[in-house]
Amino acid sequence: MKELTRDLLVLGGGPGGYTAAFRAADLGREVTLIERYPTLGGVCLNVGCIPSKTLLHLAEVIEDASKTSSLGVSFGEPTIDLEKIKDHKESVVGKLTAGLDALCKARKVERIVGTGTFKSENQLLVKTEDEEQLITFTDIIISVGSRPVELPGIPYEDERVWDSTDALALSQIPKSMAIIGGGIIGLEMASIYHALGTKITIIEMMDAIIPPADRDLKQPLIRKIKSQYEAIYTATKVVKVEATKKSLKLQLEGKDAPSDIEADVVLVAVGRKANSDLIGIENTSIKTNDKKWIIADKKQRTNVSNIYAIGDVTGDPMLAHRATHQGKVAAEVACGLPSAFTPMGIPSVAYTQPEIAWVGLTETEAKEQKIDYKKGSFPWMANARALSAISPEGVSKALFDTKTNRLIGAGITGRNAGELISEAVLALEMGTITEDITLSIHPHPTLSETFAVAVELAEGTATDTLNR
Amino acid sequence: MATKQIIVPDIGDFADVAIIEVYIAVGDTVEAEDSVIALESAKAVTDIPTPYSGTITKIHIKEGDLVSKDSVIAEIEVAAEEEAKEEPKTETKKVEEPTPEVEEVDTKAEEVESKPAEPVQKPAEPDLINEQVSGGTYHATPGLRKYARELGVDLAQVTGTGPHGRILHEDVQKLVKQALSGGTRTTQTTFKLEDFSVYGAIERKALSRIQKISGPHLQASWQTIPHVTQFDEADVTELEKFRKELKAEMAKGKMEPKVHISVLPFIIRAVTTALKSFPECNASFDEAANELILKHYYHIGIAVDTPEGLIVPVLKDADKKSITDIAVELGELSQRARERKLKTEDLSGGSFSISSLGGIGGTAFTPIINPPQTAILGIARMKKQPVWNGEEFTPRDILPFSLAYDHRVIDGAAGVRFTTHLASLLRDIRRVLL
Repeated sequence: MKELTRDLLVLGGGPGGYTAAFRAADLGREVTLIERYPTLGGVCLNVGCIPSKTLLHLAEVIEDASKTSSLGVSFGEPTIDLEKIKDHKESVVGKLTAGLDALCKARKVERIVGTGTFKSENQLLVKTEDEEQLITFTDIIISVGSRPVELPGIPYEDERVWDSTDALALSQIPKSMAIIGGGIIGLEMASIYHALGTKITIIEMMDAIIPPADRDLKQPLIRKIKSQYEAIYTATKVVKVEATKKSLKLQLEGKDAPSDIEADVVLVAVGRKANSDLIGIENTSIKTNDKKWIIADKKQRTNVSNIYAIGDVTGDPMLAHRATHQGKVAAEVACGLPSAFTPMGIPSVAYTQPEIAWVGLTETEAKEQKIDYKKGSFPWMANARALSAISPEGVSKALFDTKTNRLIGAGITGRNAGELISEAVLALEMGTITEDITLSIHPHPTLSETFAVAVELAEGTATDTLNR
Repeated sequence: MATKQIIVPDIGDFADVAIIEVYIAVGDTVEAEDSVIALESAKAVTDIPTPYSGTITKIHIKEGDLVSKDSVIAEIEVAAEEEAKEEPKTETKKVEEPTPEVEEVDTKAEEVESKPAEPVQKPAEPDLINEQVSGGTYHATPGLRKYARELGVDLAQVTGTGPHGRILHEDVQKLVKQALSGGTRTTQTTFKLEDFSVYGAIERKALSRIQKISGPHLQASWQTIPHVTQFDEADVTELEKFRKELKAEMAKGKMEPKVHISVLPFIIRAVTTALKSFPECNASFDEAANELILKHYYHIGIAVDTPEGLIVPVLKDADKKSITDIAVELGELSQRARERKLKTEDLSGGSFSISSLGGIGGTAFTPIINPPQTAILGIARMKKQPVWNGEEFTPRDILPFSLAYDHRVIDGAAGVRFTTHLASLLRDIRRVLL
């Protein structure tokens, strides 16, 4: 076995890991990045955010094209060439991973393709394709991410039972698909396959789809997909999935759901679990919580002084942009800088059609925390640009602390909501009060005006609609 | 044979501590626990031992260098048996009942093990986060939060002057400037020196290390804490009688342990009893929070005169110890202080201090508080005095003492009540038992 000594290891080359590696290298550390796959970018870039957004864009184009036929511009029925779509998706991913490889090289970050297992708190056993290396290190940043949760009673060995990675592989366009889990991932996949012609059924255990988002933000999406999809069963449990030659039979349990449904494909998207169990942390004293999430403090330090942890392996919210920011903090702290991960909000976005995005406190949370807040909520139906863009399904909402008049949370549903939410993120971090936003001139006509009007409504100065 | 690194272990809250002496040279053979360097922390000189036996192959530091926890001191070629002892380490966690050997490895060797290769020197990281909570009492933007972390400013202490109480860069700068000007006042008040040789012969003498360190500490205490000194005296005639009886018994071998028993152990014990009635004297003042931190432990610092200067070892849990135990421990601490063998833990954790100059002389003096404590007791020289008992003058042993206290947190009435209470305990030491 080869024995090596290295300075700073980063275990896991997802968005958090490569960000940490690059930042630490820029700060002068000798960095070794260990990733099990030959490409960097992790789930996000290879089998998550990026391929799904590539396909969601096509879904959006298909839907937009279908909308215009009644408005005087007809394209006819779309023809789908699955191979070409796959090629396009792979070329997008390929460009981005090649970019990362170049950045890695330019920074002289050493790359090892292999899996890492802790042997002690300063030794990692790395298995590459053809050898084993025992690396003695000074510091390590753990960024090994997460994987889909598997449910009992589901025949995973059957090729027609998919997780999000399988769905993004685009092996076929099934006639019907049952999606177990009405969270962000489930609904995005529903959007893609619906556009490709699949009949969609969604089964969610909680009372509503996308449980953490406020009800009023979800309403435009729910209204739309209710008519588009076969069925949406909330407060419903999947007891069992049985594979027959012809189809997959799902046994359901819920007050409004039938006891059995059939589907050609079952997509399981019921959440993700931390990969903390795959790296031999039992050979260290690293502490995890009851969900096996590695416990890291605001400086991303674990209880072991030379070991840091970032991203999904440290728990919710499991989002790439959280991981990248934590990656920077971990790298900076490991280099002796006084950094800390102290966001006031981490934005969440469902890239459905319409998109749903929110940041800071939701209204539900504000109520739970008994915060005295005022609210402004503006439906997009009254926005010029939304109507011009044939996208009246939307709402912009802003919450302010009544005492301080500072923004505490915001939510936007509608076309490009994921882009629009950034203004609210900045406003939240800057501690803006209503006037800071309403007196900042928003260009007209734009979708961004909807947020400004929502704030005007909270302030009582709106003119585009009636103040209440 | 394997090469290991000797690193600076956890020496408490200190960073950038100066190396005042290097005991080792390349090629030296050392035994585990031999001292390799001496460090000078806030109040003590601490010897750092090597966890390994072996031969020194490389030295990374020199006298005068500043080091912190995990700084590399030297490399050592570890003797074979040490290596053998290291072996079980990786398996430690799997062994359910660790053998004594494994436990041995778990101690200092483990600390070194966790920092192998070439540890990058990390400056001490203050755990300042400056998190901004939604609906918090102040607002600071992410950039400002970072700026404050870099300067080590806790934003909770900054008054925001921006619109709606937002904290501005200027507000942080103002606080830092204030803090700095407070600190630099010392240089402003240094006195102008003249060429004294025109008046007569002179010579220059360097301050001792302890003087160099304790000077700024004392000055900061004197300048920031409004001191009040309360004088009082205790009639210790009965206590002295009792003490002499004990001494005689010890001399005759009738009592164990045989120890030199001065009046100080009695005072220490009486002080712990008095402190329990006056918790604000066994406390620290948290100015930021406007709170007193009351301590439910009674670790008494005793100022000891050494050839190097005054040093304050701490007698831990003095309230739980017998007077003879205190006497024994006091002897040991003083001995080690004079031999420069005190460890950091011997000097830390004090909750109250006593400065006893009575052995030398003096009628009364005003001791300076040892921050972050709130009070200090000064003991002057005991003397025989005629005391009017209502009918006649009788010779009594009178012990003058003084309590200097932080007037921000202890008011005058409390101060004098403390000394009165202490005097009554010393007049009749049995009261300590109550």
